[in-house]
Amino acid sequence: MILIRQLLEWVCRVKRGGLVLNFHTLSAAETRDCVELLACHFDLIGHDELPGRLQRRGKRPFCLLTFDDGKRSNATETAPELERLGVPGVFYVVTDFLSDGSTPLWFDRYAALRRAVPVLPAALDRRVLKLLPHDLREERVRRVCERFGIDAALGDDDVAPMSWQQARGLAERGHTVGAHTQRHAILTTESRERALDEIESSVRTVGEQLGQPCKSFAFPNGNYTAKLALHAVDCGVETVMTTEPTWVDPGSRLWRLPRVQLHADTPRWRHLAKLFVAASGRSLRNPDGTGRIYVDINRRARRARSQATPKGQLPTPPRS
Amino acid sequence: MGASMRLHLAAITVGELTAPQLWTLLRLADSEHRLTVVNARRGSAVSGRKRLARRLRDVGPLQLASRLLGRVLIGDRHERRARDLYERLFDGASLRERWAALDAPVRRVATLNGKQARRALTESAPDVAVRVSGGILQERIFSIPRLATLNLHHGLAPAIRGMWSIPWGVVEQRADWIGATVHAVDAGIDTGKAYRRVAPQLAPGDTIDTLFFRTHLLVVEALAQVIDDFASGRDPEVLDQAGPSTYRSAPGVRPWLTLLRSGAGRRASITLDEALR
Repeated sequence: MILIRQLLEWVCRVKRGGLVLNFHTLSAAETRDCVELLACHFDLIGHDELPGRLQRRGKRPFCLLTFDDGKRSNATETAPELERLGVPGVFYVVTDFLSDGSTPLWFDRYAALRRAVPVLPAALDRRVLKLLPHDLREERVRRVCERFGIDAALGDDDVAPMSWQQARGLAERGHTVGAHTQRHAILTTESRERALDEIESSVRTVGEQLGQPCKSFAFPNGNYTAKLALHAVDCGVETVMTTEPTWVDPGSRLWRLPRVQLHADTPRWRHLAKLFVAASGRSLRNPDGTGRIYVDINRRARRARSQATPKGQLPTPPRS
Repeated sequence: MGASMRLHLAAITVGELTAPQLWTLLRLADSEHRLTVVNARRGSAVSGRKRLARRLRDVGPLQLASRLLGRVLIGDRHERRARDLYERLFDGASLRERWAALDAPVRRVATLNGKQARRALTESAPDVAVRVSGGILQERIFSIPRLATLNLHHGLAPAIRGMWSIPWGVVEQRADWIGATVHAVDAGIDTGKAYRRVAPQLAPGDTIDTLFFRTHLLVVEALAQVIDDFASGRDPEVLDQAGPSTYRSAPGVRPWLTLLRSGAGRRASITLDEALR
């Protein structure tokens, strides 16, 4: 643990840029632990500081905390603790989930199913489900849940959505509320038209509900294409988040920002190890199911940038 | 637009039904139209030896040897893996349950283009036939339906025609080949009037199998739309067929190796570049 800490300390001293971290739900105590750990090595920043911090070098690297899905515990547990510690967060909400309020997300239903029925057919393997378009996945999970009489407990704040009132409260108290699609569809598995519509509708709904423009969009499960990401930018957002588990450096583009996913139940030393490996720019597996091919993608991006920049000329700053 | 008619559909299949084929049949059965299945035991009445001799004459000994080697060394194994994946993706077990419960009429025949098949189709007098699986249909079969015989070609015709079109698209880095076409069957191979073209999104992490899966979901919906067009009494719109056309057949060793090197598409430029363009 001490060794990993020192390695991370060393990396943080030499590297420019920082990290965007991705959580889903954290209790107040977990939030406090996490912030205390990160504050030793990073400047904890808000969303609006991100473009500036990418351009200029700070004394320490930055860290932005993001929370996906818009669960009620984000508003009742995580955000109040963040406010107490003076750290702004970014909360990505699934718009139909918040508007409806009575239909759990598919993976919470699936988790309930797994707890009750440990051995499921191959067609219900999690990796298989993530390759299906949203409607097909929903229908398949719902059908089996109905057969066994199981559903996710909407009384649980880690399962139920926050209300739009709570989302507005977060924005008023200095956090950023971003869009995370309408239905938590994995957009690359949808038809192109459907995927573009998911982005557009969710960005518009967040803007309408908050009464201010939606500034950020995060891809569910992290799966993205440039066309979809740039469509989100065209819809008015400033930043687009993926789940490529690597460091955000000055060459990173605001329309495809990497994020390192951390889970509350993971031991502290593993968090630190993960952050250290992410800082080295490779090796972690992308939780979106594409493994480590982001390393190839980033290599191609660097090659394209260096070919586009004539010798002796500074590279163009990241798009903002 | 006139009132919709209830059509009589005939689905032409060969051998045991796979998960993607069951998906197509169930979508047809779910529509308001009447469905009869003509299931051939074999695709061709010609013996294996004769077919081999014909291939030898058509493509030459080197290409034939390369195709056989590619199939034996790589193709068969990949096909088995792909079949397993499609079983999980389409949920083959539940499709089979649903198909058995439907109890749709099935006419068993010996071969795809044989006399029995012709008789079965003539007797059922379909308005529209759909080639769900099997080899090349001969005119004496595809000319029987009153309105059209349709084919689902997994490739964007006429840009790419023939078999293995999606993998060819990955091997030759041709994104414009990846997709599927609903077209009328005529005497050529994938040359008939194209009624619908669909293309999945290409994304990092995709393989030829995930692309096939998503393409199949899209093209089966497109097929249902074309049939609904016929049912409403108007001919479906025929798409522009202009532009260069490439015909590709079974792959030899080299394309298989190219595909393997790209992790069946996972590390191919055609999918990785989608993250950057």
